[in-house]
Amino acid sequence: VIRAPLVALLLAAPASAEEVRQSLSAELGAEVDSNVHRVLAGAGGEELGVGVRAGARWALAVRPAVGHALVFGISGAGRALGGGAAGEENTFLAGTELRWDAATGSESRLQLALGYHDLFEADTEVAGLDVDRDFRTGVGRLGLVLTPTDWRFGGGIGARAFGYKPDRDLDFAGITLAFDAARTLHPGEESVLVLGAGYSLAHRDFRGPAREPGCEGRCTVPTALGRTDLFHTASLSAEWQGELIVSGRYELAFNDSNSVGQSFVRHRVDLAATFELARWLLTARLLVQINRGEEDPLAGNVPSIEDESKSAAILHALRPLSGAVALELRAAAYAGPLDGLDDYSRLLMSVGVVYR
Amino acid sequence: MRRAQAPVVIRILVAVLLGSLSWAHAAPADDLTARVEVLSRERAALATRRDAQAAAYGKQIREIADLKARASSWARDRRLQAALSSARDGATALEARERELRAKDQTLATARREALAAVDAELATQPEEPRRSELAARRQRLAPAARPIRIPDERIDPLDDPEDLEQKASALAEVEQKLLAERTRLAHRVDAWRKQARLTRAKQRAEAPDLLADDGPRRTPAPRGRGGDAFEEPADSEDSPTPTGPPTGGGAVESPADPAIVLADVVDPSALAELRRAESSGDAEARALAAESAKKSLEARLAKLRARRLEMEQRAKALRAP
Repeated sequence: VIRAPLVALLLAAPASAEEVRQSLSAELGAEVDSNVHRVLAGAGGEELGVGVRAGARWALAVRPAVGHALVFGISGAGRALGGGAAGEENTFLAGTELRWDAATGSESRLQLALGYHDLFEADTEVAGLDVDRDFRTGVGRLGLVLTPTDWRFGGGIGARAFGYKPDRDLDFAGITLAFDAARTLHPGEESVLVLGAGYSLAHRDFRGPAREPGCEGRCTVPTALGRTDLFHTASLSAEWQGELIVSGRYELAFNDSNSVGQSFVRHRVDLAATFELARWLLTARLLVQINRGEEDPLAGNVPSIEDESKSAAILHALRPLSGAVALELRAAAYAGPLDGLDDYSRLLMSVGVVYR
Repeated sequence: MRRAQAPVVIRILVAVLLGSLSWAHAAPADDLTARVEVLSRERAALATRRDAQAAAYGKQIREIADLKARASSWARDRRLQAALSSARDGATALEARERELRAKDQTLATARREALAAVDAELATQPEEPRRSELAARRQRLAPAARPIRIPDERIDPLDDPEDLEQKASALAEVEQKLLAERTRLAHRVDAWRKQARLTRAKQRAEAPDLLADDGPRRTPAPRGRGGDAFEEPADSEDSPTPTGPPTGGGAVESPADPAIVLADVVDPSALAELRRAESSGDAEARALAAESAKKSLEARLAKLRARRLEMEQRAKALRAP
């Protein structure tokens, strides 16, 4: 547990005084997962997992010219769970990113970002079914940020490709658009209120076909059309920064799919408070999420457990041990009653050391 | 006819009486505000005269330096003596004007406080409109506005006698006190914003998507095709083309004690510009860094002023020594 920060300390020295800098962040810890396969109670396969997790990110930042910054980063993280079927959830993630940030004026800057992540997972079977979730994803985006007095406006266009390793029909690619705006208010000399709004659109052109009801209503069959989704997300947020930080965010997501049973509406409320208590930095967070799937001609309006149905209560604690090293505790309880997933629950606890 | 006029006379008397009562009630605020306005005009006139005298004195000093640079001659020495004498008179007059200005500042500050108290007292009685609006506007004019702290003459002139140096040192000491107060204010801001930055970092860490945790429910037997969107988590966080953090705008936020105004003549302008820009943003880290930078710049200036004051005091002591 102590070794990673020490190694990190040795490696984190700047490569050069001003123009080139490298940084390393790392974490190492242990976790307990009450439902390691994330299955519904009674579906079989509920299992307790105990294991270790580690991750690191190295980045090199270069300032080729005044107002320009180029950052290259690589990251890797892994989790190893001990004993029996829990070991099937052993996971390793590798990623790389390249970011270029250029000031185009005193109140505007241009950003270009490219990224690639690949997730590898041990073969996983639950109730005799292959339920692997390995994926790879690559993104590229170009954005413009304007920062006039007390405002921030962001807008950008990008592209994304997603590969779902267990089923190539679910690979997709498409363009993304996003806009956001934020306003900073000053209710006090040392406090700030930030109000924000955002909208994003992701077009997803799937490799597999769109499906429609078939078999006289007993199954779905592929159509001649490829599956295409339009994923809209709109959000409103407020954050007060003072003696403590309190934030609230509402997000409405709507997936408009031409494949039967794939459209859905998702409401998500995210409330959080961060405060300091006896040198601990504590964040209490409540996520309330409601998913409503499209009326399925085969099964009716059933909750979709394929989505991120994770209403949750999360407590996160950080205790700085030195300038860059902190002890981290996390406890999270997930449940899905608002989505009709009364039988779903998961408790996840972890303790570790973070270096950054 | 006389009987008809009697009530009118009584009404007039009552009106005059009420009017005088009303005038008596409002008089302190009006009188004291008028006094502040008169004193402000007097101070402005004094400051104009002081600036003109300072400019003339500066010209005399430059002339003396120019004469000293020339080769010695009877004519040059005569002119130099005259210039030195004139400069001494100019310095004495300038010091007198500075003293006068400081005294006027004190009188004005006292009058302003009294007028403000009188306006507040009358506002507390909840007067009718338009008097209330008038008082509110007057209060805004009377409230102490942020003014830049001016650094007094910190040069040690070869012509300065011990009294000159002591007066200059005294003026510097006065400004040092003001700057120390500003430093304390800035330090409070640095502490508050550092704490906000710590909290922000902790919040970001708490809310960062954990790819390994994969907190979505497990894909279980379901109609084919339902699983395509099960992995939005890494995707959604990447779809945004720009960081979702708060704004980091660049503009002025003027508060009564805005350091960007108060320290305009003291701290490095780029540090103050950065502080203003950061203050108008929602980025606690940027605010903390900018305030820290402005504080360091202020501390460096304070150290220089202190060193110069000590130098003046030592030189005055040396000149006084037999």
